[in-house]
Amino acid sequence: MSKLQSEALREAITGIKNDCNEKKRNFTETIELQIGLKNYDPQKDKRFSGSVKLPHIPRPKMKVCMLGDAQHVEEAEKIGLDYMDVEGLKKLNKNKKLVKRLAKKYHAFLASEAVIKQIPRLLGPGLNKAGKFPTLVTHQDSLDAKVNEMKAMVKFQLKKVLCMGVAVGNLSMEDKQIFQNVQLSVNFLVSLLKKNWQNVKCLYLKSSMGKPYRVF
Amino acid sequence: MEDAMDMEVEVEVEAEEHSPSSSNPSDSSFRRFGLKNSIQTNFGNDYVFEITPKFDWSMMGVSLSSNAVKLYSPTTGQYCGECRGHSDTVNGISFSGPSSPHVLHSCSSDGTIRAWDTRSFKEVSCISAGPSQEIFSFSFGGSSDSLLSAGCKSQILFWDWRNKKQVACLEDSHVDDVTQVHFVPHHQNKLISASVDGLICIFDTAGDINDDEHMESVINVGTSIGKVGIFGQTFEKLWCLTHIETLSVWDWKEGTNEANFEDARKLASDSWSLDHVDYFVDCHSAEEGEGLWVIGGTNAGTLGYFPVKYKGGAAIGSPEAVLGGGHSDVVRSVLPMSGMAGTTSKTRGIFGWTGGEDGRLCCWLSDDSSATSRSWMSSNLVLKSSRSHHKKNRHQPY
Repeated sequence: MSKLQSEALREAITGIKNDCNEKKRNFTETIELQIGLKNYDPQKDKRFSGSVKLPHIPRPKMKVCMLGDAQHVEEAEKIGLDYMDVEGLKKLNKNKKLVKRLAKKYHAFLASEAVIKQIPRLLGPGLNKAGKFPTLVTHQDSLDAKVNEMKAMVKFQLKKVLCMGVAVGNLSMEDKQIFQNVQLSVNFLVSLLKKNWQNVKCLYLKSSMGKPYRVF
Repeated sequence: MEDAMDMEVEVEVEAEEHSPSSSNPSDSSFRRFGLKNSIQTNFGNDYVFEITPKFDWSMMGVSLSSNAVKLYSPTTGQYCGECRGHSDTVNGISFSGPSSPHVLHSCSSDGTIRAWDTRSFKEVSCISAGPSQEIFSFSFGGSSDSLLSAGCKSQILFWDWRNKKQVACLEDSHVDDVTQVHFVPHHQNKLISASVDGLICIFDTAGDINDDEHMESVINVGTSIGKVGIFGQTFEKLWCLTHIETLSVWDWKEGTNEANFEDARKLASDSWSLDHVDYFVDCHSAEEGEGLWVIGGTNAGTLGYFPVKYKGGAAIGSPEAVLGGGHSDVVRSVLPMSGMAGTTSKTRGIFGWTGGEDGRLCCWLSDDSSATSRSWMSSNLVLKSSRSHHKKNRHQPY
């Protein structure tokens, strides 16, 4: 059972939006969910890290590049997705600077089965090092859906302290979308904790520049 | 999005189709194992992390959250001794093979891999990865069996264990904690690593090892990886459990995904009428062949053994065995004894050992009321049935 009160969450979202309207920033603020844990020992309890697939894309501006075979390149062109083929990758000549530059240009990569196998040989460990090794996309997958799926994924990781933040949305999203993203991520994260809600000390919602709102 | 939805639906349909057919032949569908005995490993709040067997099954090592490793007899449960010395969490333990029969190794967040003499329980050697480094996993292998590999904080280190000299450091392949390193059986040069960064990397460790030349292939799992295991007829398959409780099966040679269970807990729970899965402990594979089982647990300490179908429509079947009533908290390790090489004469109907966050070690007997025969418990069954015949014979005269 979710102990997250819909009312408190709605109020927090409204509050954050109002604060933001009072003081406009020159960028779209991210909305972060902050979680404080209790009855949890990072030294002996299981790791609390991974990724959550949100119902609504929190990072619409995320730039994705398709490292594709002929068929995927064609598909990418159709949906207006940036792409590179094997010939293009070969031109990088395993040059560390060029691979780094490529990695910097995009937030994430997709690759066809035939291409992903060649990446270590063609590019070396550059994309690994950037934390951007491509996600496999097969010809059975819809490319558009795969891109959206990637954009909807957010990472979380508890380090040696008992609190962490997860980016669950941004201020250009509708209240309802933010609401659903928060609700899903909270319930998912709680399901991974062994004492579930008894492991949750507090939950805050805040925008990049705004003040935090306690929702639990 | 639509495509992804379709796939999930397909998986669920498969699971539904699968469960009635698998539960028909061996009705009530699973075996419930009896608890032989349970041992409290400590009187504090320490967890049992891992249980590992010696090659001849004369001893088992048990790592605890107290940073110690305790040794027990797997057949009698008798306590043998304790290896103390690590100053931080022990992340992995393993016995050496027959060539050095009295050595147990352990790796720790204190940045060391230590070797222990299991007769005197004394530390006999120590290799350090350096200050502020942590070691999460280790594996022995390499072309001349001389390499010791360690998964550390975003690095993989290699030593020649004979002279304890560091021979290589891979630091470009992973960007976060390397939770697993395994040399592949029968492919001595191949090393498989897995990390919190979501990647599995396969390296060729022949010659001078470096990131640029020796990383052969990469599998992107997409989320923090907890545990991987190599299985299959020619050790070409890989199962992968993540920290968000998903399961996937890969062919590491081809780099292809064989099955992806993003909803593994739900799939397993749906096929388990009596309970639901909160987490996965481990996977076990058949000694021979391609069989795979995932072990799911409840927060109350019950375990279920679920068959995993990863070919032609992925599915998680209803549990073939249930281990209930032994633990009262999350189970962290399962050591099966039946069906393992070298155990037949020693197991005496013991199914295996489990250890958990309640600090307890439980020894399980297999129950012979059901006639299910599975490769991972077959030798067990033979032994059990012969014993029960004995009993019957003795009881008849009275």
